[in-house]
Amino acid sequence: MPSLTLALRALWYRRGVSLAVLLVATITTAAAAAGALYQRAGGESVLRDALTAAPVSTSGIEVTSADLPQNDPLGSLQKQLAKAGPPFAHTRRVLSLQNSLDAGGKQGPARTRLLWREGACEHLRITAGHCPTGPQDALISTRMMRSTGFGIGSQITGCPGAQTYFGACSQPGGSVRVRVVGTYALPEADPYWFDGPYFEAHSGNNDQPDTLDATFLSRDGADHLPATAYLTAVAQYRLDPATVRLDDEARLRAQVTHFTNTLEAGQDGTRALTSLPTVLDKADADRRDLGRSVLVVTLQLVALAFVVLRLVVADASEARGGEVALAKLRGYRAGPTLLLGLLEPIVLLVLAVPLGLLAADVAVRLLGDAVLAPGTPVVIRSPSLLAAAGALAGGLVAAAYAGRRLLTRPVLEQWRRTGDVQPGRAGTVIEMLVGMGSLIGLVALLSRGVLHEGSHSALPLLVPLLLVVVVAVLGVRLLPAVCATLVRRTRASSRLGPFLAVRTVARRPAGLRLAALLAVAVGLATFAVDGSLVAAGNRAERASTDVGAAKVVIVRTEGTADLRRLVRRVDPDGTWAMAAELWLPFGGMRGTVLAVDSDAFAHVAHWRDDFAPLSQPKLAAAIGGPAPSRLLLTGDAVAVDLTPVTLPTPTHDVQLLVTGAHGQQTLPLGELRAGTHRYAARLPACGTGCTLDGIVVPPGGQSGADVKGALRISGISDHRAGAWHLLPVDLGEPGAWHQQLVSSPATSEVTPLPNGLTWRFSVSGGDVPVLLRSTLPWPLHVAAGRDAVLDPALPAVANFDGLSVPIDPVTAVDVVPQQGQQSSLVDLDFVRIALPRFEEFATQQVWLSDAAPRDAVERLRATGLQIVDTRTTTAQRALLDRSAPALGLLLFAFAAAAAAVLAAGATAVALYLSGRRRSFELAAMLVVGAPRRSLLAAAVGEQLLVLGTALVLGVTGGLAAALLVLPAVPELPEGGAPALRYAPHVGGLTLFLVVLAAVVVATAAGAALGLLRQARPGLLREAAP
Amino acid sequence: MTGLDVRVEALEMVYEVDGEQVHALRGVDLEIAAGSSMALLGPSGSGKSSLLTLLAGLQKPTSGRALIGGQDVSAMSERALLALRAREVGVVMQGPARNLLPYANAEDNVRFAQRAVPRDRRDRLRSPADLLEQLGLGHVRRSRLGALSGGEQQRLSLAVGLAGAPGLLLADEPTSQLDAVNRAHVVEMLVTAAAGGTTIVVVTHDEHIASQVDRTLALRDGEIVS
Ligand SMILES: Nc1ncnc2c1ncn2[C@@H]1O[C@H](COP(=O)(O)OP(=O)(O)OP(=O)(O)O)[C@@H](O)[C@H]1O
Ligand SMILES: [Mg+2]
Repeated sequence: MPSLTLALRALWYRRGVSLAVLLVATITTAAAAAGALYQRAGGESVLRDALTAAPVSTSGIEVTSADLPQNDPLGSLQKQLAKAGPPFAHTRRVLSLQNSLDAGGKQGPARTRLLWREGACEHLRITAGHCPTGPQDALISTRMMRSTGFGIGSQITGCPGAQTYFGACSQPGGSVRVRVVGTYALPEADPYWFDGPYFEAHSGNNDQPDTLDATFLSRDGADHLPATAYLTAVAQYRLDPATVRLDDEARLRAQVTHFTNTLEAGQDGTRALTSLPTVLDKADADRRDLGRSVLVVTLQLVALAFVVLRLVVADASEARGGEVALAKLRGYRAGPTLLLGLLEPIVLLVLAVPLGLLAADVAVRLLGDAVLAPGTPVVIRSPSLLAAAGALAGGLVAAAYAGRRLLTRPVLEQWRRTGDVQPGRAGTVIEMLVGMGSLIGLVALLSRGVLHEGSHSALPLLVPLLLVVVVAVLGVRLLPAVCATLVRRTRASSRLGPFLAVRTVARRPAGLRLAALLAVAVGLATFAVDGSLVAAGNRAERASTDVGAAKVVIVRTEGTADLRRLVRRVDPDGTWAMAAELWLPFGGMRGTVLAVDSDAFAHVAHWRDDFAPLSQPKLAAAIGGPAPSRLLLTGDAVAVDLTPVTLPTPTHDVQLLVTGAHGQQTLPLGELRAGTHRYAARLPACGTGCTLDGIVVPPGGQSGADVKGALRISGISDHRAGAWHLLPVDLGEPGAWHQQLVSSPATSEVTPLPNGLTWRFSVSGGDVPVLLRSTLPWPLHVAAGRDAVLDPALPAVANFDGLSVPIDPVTAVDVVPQQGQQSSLVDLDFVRIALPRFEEFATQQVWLSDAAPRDAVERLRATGLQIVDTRTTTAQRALLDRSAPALGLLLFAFAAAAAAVLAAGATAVALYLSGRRRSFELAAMLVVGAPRRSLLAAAVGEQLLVLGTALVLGVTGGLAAALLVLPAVPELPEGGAPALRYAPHVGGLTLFLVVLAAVVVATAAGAALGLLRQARPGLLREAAP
Repeated sequence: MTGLDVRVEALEMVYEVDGEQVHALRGVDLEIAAGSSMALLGPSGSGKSSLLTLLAGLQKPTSGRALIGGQDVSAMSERALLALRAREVGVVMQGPARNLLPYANAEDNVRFAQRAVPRDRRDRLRSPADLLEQLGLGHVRRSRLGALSGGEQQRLSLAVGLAGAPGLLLADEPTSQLDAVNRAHVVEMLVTAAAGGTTIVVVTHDEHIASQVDRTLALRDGEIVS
């Protein structure tokens, strides 16, 4: 009986091969175990991200109760809540009481939300006064203070619940009076507010009153409101995503269902709103997608690992052929002989179980730290253990197979063949079956259309392996045939090296199985390298496009501050910061409109050449375009040469709009008369100069009637040094004049003339026709998204106030950074001029490029901008990098790396083991006088031929797979812009190929040198069979 | 110990190499009495090793019979052959590498051979230490194989062949790499074994050995020439 110590000594004696077996067995076990582990961890990460990314109000629950007894609405709601129990394990609940209040402000009626909210003052910065404590106390926003004129000490009186009726409250005694005791600054993004619309002051649409920020009351104050205030009691439950694990999901769903059902079955008018189930469903779907990818990838890797393991175990037990022969020579029976041959591999296989589990755990942990959501748990569970056990069983089967050979082979043959496993007929049959099976699988998959884009299937990930197997098995089969023909050629030549190399390859198919394996590994690696790089590029592109710039800060300006000017204060040249406002038009255009500082756009915003037919600077110039020149007046009087083409009736005056040192003024020019006349007026104090802004035709008598007419303007002069001078400007410049927009129906037409223009106008509803000198390229230049312009015949865009600006779609834009498709770009300054109230419904942002200084956000804050939220491309990239499709691809890359290591291990073992036998042959050649250099060339050539073929086949197969499969592999969450690109990543692939080729050449040369060093003539004496 | 007699009848061995037949043995007849010693001589390629491996049951003859202790090894099952070798036949193959476990020390190699011997015959075995001492290998008892010289390895191979106290020792060129002193050692070992009753068949080119054995036989081209 061979003892264990002897087995251990044998392990050490053959430490190279032992290590390779251990490595391969460990990787096999790790591959099997890691799949389950990774899927679990990835699922946790996907769930965590889904919950974190969802707005708090989506993942949380809001319970509202409207029809409650008004003496204690909150108490009544609390009773119901107590009955329903908490919806989540870790509950953060905020209670509030609220209703709207219609009150009169500085500029007419306005509506605020009367609100008591548990703990509100801890989440607000009080800018003056104090938090409400008494029953009449109210806290208003500084913005509301400015817009309404209310201040500390002011009384606010109004009617709750929109129960106004011609200025009075419809409910007798229903009016509410509170006293302002403090003001607050608008808060930054804070989950506490549960996405509530508390700070969204905006103008009233149509005949609605303006909306103001919320007015906070004390609890006492809420309780003291009259019963007619009809307060709504609200309870908001916030879910803490960090507390939810996959294990909790089912319980969480059940709890939430129970909670909502209990509440809604109770009191009428109690509603529990949550989208948590939808969020969970989405996460589940993503997890299932990931699970399928993991399964497909793991199965492939395990299959490949098993093939390598079988080879290596066979090699390792083959390496013990001499000892097994010796045991038979000494007369050992089958049991001990087998033990001698297999104890070593079995010890290694068993050892590989804990090592593999450990490796899987470490690998998934590292991977988790690198890409998964922070804090994702990695725990070895029964599926991993089962998988590891499966791998062990597989290894033992391979060992048993090898053992059968050991037992049945004749002793003498065992000595003779040490170190060189010749493929038996069974092996060849299996190989051909694998090749055919792969081919059939490939055809079946392709004909079933798994390579259609947008499928959720993980089957496309199976195609690369099948494809490279087919290429490898068939390609490698061709090699001996090719070499056989080469033999005939090289035989005639005088050079020994190449002849020997091709002859050996032609006659020794043993190395070919290895070459096929290597080709498969190289193919998978090529696919994985290209796929990873291509997908990473697409993710980076998507992240940048999603965010719009390296960093995007959501801001709020208070009052009417000009965001662009504020931003230019920190970055005067607009090289790293850009003001942007996002707006949803109220008519005329579909999709969002992003208004940008067009001078900074090309420096700051992310761009790809296919976003628009124009380059980024050209597009920016197109929307920014120069505004017509201003009409500068430098004299002491101004005159206009006018000819009424159609005199408006009844009589009308004519005036000039002029901006001087004291702002804009109207200069009366007198009544319009038939015929061409020069109408003059003295200029006001001009300071550095006045500008002529427009011409007004106000009604001479009473107003209210429709006005219709046409004027020809043929010259503008100013009076300097006692004489009139004609202004040297082209009055007829297209777009230089336009009629001021009004909300009532109006038409206008400005026709340029050789030295002047004709203005036809028609306004109604008491509006006054005004011809303005354009301060922006008119019509408004727009880079229009696909199908964004609703009426191409009369392109225009409308605001909530009824103003509609004609637009000129100067170029198309396919993808707008941050907004994706179906969005348009416009210049911020110009849209603000064209639609003065455009900002009231726009989201203000500051975009920062990579070149922005580190303290850019602080600098912005210092200008008085309020920072609401910040998004970065880096964070978005990290999020995309751990989305379910990315995680699937990542695993594939790791699997391919593992496959490459496996194949390298198998090659090393095979080269080492065949070395001995090959060195005998070389020794024999040396003895018969072959030159050493030829032999070296032959040995290197042979290795190169085999390894090089593997390389070429692998890379070809891998590239083909990449081109074929990548478009069908899900890479990113669906439905984003821009379009994904699949062109091979030339740089990465080149680097990969160079490294690979270097490794192959080094391996071939190293193996050949090693062979030759062993090949001493003295070897032959020991060798002869 | 009782030696085993050996009888070979019309033994033929034909190898097939690349479709061509190589006649290694062409009808060899031979009889060796139990307890006697014999040297097989002959030029390289004359079939000496082939004859020895046939006797050891390591391969089957093309035709003819080889009997050891009256049992026909050419017709025996693999199992029976293993048992026969474990119990009765010590084999020393050509070249020391085939006879020794490369990673075990000298003593372990002897022990490895002895463990194959059935229990009922183990009481007759000498301890590895004794055996090695007697063969002048006491000083390298615990040395790794790699630390042994070629001569020491060859002597160890013979020691291992004799470790199971066999009734028949088949040794293929046990002195090929040895100098005169070591050769003398080996011859002494063989003589001692023969004196103990072991039948000895030794393939050799060594005249000194030939002169020390009971009988010599010369092979040429697979035929006995003297
Ligand atoms: N397994 C084998 N396959 C094919 N031919 C063999 C085999 N073993 C031996 N031979 C051939 O049989 C013949 C006899 O070989 P054998 O090894 O018996 O000679 P030998 O007398 O032992 O020679 P040496 O003194 O060189 O050891 C030789 O021609 C040899 O090439
Ligand atoms: Mg021989």
